[in-house]
Amino acid sequence: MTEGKIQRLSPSSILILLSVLMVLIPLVPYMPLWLILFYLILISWRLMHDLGRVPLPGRFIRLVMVLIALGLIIFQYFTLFGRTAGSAFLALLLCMKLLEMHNQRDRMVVIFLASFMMVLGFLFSQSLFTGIYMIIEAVILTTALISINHTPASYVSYTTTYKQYLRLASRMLVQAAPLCILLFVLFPRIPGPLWGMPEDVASATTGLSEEMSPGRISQLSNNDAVAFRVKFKHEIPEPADLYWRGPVFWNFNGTRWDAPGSLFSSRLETEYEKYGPAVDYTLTLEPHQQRWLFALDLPAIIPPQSRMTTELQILSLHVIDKVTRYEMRSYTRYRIEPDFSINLQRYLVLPKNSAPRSQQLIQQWLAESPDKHQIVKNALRYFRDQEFYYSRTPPLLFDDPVDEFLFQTRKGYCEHYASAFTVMMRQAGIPARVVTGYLGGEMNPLSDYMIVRQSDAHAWSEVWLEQQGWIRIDPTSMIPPERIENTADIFRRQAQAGQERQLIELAWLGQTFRQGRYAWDAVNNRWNQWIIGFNEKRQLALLSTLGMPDITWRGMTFLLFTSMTAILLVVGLYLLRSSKKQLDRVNTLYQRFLSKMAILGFTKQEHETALSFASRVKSSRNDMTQQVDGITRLYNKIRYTPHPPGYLYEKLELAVKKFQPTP
Amino acid sequence: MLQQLSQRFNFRRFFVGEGPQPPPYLLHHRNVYILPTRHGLIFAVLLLLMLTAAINYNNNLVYLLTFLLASLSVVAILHTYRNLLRLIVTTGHIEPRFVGETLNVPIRIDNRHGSERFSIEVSFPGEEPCIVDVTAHQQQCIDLERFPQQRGYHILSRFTLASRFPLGLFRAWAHVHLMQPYLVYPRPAAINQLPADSLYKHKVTGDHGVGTDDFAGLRQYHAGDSLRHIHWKAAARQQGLLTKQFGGDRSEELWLEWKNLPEIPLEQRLSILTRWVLLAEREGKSYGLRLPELVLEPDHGAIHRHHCLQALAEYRTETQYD
Repeated sequence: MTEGKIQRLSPSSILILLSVLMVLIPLVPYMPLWLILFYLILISWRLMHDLGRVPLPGRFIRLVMVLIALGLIIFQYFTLFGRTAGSAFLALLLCMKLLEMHNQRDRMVVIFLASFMMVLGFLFSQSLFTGIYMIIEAVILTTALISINHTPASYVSYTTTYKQYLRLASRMLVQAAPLCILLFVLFPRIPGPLWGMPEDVASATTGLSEEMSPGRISQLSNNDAVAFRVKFKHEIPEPADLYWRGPVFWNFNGTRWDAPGSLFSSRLETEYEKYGPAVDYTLTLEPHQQRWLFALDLPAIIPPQSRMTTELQILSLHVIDKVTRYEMRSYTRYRIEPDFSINLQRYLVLPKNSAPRSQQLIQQWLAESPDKHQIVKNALRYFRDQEFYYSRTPPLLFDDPVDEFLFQTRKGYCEHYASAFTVMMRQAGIPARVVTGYLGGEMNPLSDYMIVRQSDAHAWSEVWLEQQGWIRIDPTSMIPPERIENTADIFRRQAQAGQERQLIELAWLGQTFRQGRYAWDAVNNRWNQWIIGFNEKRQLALLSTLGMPDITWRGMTFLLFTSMTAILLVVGLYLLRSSKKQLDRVNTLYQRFLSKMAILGFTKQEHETALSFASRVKSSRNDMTQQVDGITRLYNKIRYTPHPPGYLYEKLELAVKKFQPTP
Repeated sequence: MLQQLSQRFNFRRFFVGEGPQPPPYLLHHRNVYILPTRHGLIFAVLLLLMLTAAINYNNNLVYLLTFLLASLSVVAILHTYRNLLRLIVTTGHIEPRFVGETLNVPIRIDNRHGSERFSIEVSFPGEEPCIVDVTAHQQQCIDLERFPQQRGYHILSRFTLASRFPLGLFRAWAHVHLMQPYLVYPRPAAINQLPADSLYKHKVTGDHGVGTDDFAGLRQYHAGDSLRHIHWKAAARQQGLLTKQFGGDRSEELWLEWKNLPEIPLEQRLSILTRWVLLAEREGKSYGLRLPELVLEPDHGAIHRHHCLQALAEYRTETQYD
């Protein structure tokens, strides 16, 4: 090591450090800052060493560093396993390995570890960006592997070396692509995990939650993330019918709604009176780390691996931790449980002394008319006629959220209205419950599916009336547009009024932005449908469209192997093709010369040698002597020298190219 | 036919190649082999691990990555194999050396194709390889070293061309055994004296005027006489072509005799004779060599020296395949 002199970094050391950095970047959001800083220090240490500035740490220092870092990781996560702790641990191993990387074997191990780190990154995110990033990572890692396995001659400039490596890596990946796609499509998919999933699979943002406490959260999230996408088979239902049913709450403790212990009915809940045409659609759900499956009110079938509760909510048997597709059928006109009265008691329970002012109001209405229909109408009219406002940032509610909302603040969003309305109904002796889910959705104009976003999250009520069964009442829809604070919400919340959301975005810039967003969403949808959501069902569907319906597991394996062989044969023939053409390059060039001569009327006879042909040409065309001689001399030199150097070919090619005879 | 087939599928070929072949040797699909390296096996285990993760987490991106890396390594087989394919290997002339000296074996790798070959490792079994790149349409020469321990003619032992490029997951190799002989002179004995005077035999005839030292007179020009020895001044005086004659070959002839070294083991005898040849040559003497079955008449010069050393090297030995 020379003091003060910066060494030139070799391609392999730069590429290895780059690979390590690239596989660590996707994990950054999931790791504590101090850990990231520690990794950066280790990487810079290696960099400084490669620059000839510092020595690598000795065994003792390395041991101490590993022990400290391990202790801190355990302190942070209480374990070394699981997704986050596991990746922190593996990243530590990877960065420490950088500090004891001495020979080619170590370098290979670093790259192998780095490729395994990529897998951990995919457990956190499977977005389209991640997919594109994976390809870049693969190119860099392959380039690094190539650089490790090649010792460039000292006279070759590093720039050309990088270019060469990069070109080779890209070529190899392109050649690998057909095989990779084949394996992806035909490799038998085994449904379900082999063993338990780790507990710490990340939490995702969603507009819904397991419970509802109106007034406790002062701000409604305006998260535009996609909740799910829907592709309708036939006609798209009316905007007023686009209520996507999610978690249903029936238990109220005075401040919070929840549904303790979901009950699964032994009865087929899907047997209800259906009117109008069925709505068939495919729903692609983004992972939300809950078991909820959404369906248009009311679902008529239950997707596989899921059950339906007595509140008509569909719950998956597994946590939705990845993009999930399912086929659904719903009926928007229905009559359910008109004479079902055994278990209604729990939809009437209210905590003692809750909302006394509201109770008074209800008593007043009941005195006027005991008709339950009239009570529902009164309550809705109350929201419409009194000064109720729709606000995304309502004031907080403290003691009695229902009374405070109904008689003091009068500002809130869907949860406040649904909660207050349900409580009022129960006070009037009408069985009622809160239903949460999503309302509406926008069609992607560039494609044929509907996008439902987290910001479409909504809450409404269901009340049970004799003869009619459970009917949906959305008190939020009673708020007239002039009392909605945010103009965007007018259209968002009153979509059922039949207004077009797009009307609001008249500005050209807004339109362009919207178009771009739709295009991006369409690409994302494709990605979800074909890459992330690809499963055994899709595999079979694809094979049957390719003319192989009812393919067995055996048939698929056979198909996989035969087509793999075929692809390998093609790639192999391309790569190992005999370079006879190269050997005959000189003949090809000479033939090109001869065909130019043929235009002038000189054809080389079978018996003529190149020299005799040349002298025959020269005898009648003096002006071409120099060029013909030059080409003939080069031709002979290449033909009859045992190992002609490469530059002679180039000279001959240039000479033939330049030879433009005039008749 | 059957014999041809059994020869073709002989398992020995896999390990030791096909026996000595006359150069140049073309590497083609029947003599280039390929197997995964230790790193390749580790990588395979890694891929299995990744596949298990993909199945367990049912994560399609992990599937995709696993399949991409698996396909990449399959493509790497072809690239590694191609890296050696259709190279032409020849050896240059191997200069004779003495036992105990380092022998340089020049090996020329000829790439007549349009693709550059990277990191070709050339080595004798069990030795550190020489690593070279061979540019498209170019040749690359490298020197391997041998340390011969026995005198005589040897046939160059088998050496190996191998390559792990580009990914290091596979190693392609070809055993090259060329019918390339080389000569090893006996080890010169550690003495620096020529045999005693008694061994000198004075020539009966004396000066023949074929020496180079003293002017001895003129004679008629014969075809083949050196131009430098023509008496040009006489030619200018129209006296015809005369050749100047020099003496100096008068000095004694030295006979290096096998029988003068009795009671000494064979190899040591040859060593001493070898040293004598070297000393006599250095002192510019005219020397002859008499072995039991062979007599080399007195002479001197590089060629004579080589003949003497060759005779000593070959004495009672056969060509060795090492």
